[in-house]
Amino acid sequence: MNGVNRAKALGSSLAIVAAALLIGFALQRLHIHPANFALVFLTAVFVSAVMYGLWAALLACLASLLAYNFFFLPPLYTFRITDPSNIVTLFFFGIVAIVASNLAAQLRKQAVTAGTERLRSAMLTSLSHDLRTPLASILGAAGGLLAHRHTLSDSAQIDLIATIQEEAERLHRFISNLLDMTRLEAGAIVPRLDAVDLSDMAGTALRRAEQILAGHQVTMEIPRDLPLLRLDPVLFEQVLFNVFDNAAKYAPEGTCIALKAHEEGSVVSVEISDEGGGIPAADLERVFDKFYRARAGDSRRAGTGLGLAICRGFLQAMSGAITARNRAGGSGAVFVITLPIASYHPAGIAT
Amino acid sequence: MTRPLRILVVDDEPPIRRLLRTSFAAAGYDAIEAEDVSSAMRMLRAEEPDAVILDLGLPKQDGFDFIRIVRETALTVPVVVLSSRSDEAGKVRALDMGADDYVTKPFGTDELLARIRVAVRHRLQRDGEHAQFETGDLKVDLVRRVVAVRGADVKLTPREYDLLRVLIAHAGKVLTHRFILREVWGGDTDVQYLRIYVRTLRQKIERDPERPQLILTEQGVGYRLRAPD
Repeated sequence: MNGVNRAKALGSSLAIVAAALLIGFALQRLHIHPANFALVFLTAVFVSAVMYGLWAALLACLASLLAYNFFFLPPLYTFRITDPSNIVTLFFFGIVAIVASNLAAQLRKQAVTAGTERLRSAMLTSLSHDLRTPLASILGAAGGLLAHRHTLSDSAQIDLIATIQEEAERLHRFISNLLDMTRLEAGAIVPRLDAVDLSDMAGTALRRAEQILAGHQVTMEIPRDLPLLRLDPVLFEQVLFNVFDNAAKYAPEGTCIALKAHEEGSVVSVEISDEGGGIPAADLERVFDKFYRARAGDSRRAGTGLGLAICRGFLQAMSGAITARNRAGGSGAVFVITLPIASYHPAGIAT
Repeated sequence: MTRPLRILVVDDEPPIRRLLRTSFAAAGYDAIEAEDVSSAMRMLRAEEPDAVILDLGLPKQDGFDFIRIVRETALTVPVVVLSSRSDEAGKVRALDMGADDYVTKPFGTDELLARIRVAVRHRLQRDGEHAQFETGDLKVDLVRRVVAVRGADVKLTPREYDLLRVLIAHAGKVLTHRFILREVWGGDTDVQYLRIYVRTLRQKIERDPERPQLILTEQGVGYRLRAPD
């Protein structure tokens, strides 16, 4: 939990105690014995524990003890206690509250773990499918080649070899994505920031994606005097590759994928648009979620559901951003990447 | 050369050694194998290979140790490193220590063989620079300092020419940013200069500067000029 969230949790638990106090005042008017108010405060502590964890619960416990003593135990409006039986009440209140908040906090932790479990099982489903499918093709093709090498025609052999190669490459991309995601989640991504040329990086990403994009036409419009960008070239090349990969997957063959860049104040904005079916309006944000996949009912294979999540993670690590929208005229998705400009401007050096 | 090129493969993974042994044999090369640094050093002395393929992640002493020992003993055998994706720092370190080139796993054997040929050629031709250089659309007369692209002369600034000359001197080999900066600017100049010069050079000599075919970027490492035809 970061500092802001923790402060929020502690504040909320105090608010819950304040609510308990108001209920106590209401009960007081009904002439209910003050000893019962302890139960109201105990409820407040318990709610804090379930919603905000142990520390919030302990704070609620302390605040409750003080408020209960100050407002409800004689002498009123002091922190003094004269009746020994009230000391006993407060003492046991404290113990019960602490034990209860401990238990509740553990319950909460388990609930959080259950959420992680759900994500993990989604990951395992994705993993087993995405790893097994190409593996099955590779094993099948290799086994076929070995067993029938004397009877298979040349073209059939080449087919099988090509299958092995393509499927192994798919596997490689998938494993790379998994590793990238794992590195991101482990906080192991430390960008090596450098001033780099966008057209240079777009060129290398395109080279790497050459086979995937063989069926598409790619156009690039990058101003020649675009300033250098401040980012990690390796991470950013992966971002571009993933966006290209995504476009190749969801835009039909024969269509055009366009990359355009322009300067916008202190950032450079890079837009990559395709001519596919676009993204449902409700999912424009969700496409960046881990394991989000577009409906994959038809022949084309769904992706790993990691590519765009990695893009967002990498860009955030480099003080960049990525958003999705749909093309204004005609169908297709547009991914907009914004990147910080390096302080240094190419116009500044003489040749 | 009378005997086939002999290549020492240093890798602790048997499947990789088997793959390389088969591919090298198919290409007419003679492959010998070692699975750790000490046996690699022994074979280096006994068998005198023409090139070494080196996996960086070896048990006990690693690939960096091997490069260090080889270069300390002033052996000139070219070393091509097998490295993993997302280990740009390791690639740069290996190159700075004296490795000649690298391929990233998973690699194609064609790519690896091309790297080996370039590395061996450079070791053999250390002193004899050619007067003419030609690759793809580019033709450079290194004596008259004339650069032509698809038959038309191209005007380069002195700095751009220096940059191109360094790339030509090592054509086909990857050069780290640091190496190029030292050769062209003679010191620790900022890598941003280099990027700007590469951009303007590409705009002058590449058919499509956004899809360069001559000066290739090795992301996070450096640049590589297309090998001569």
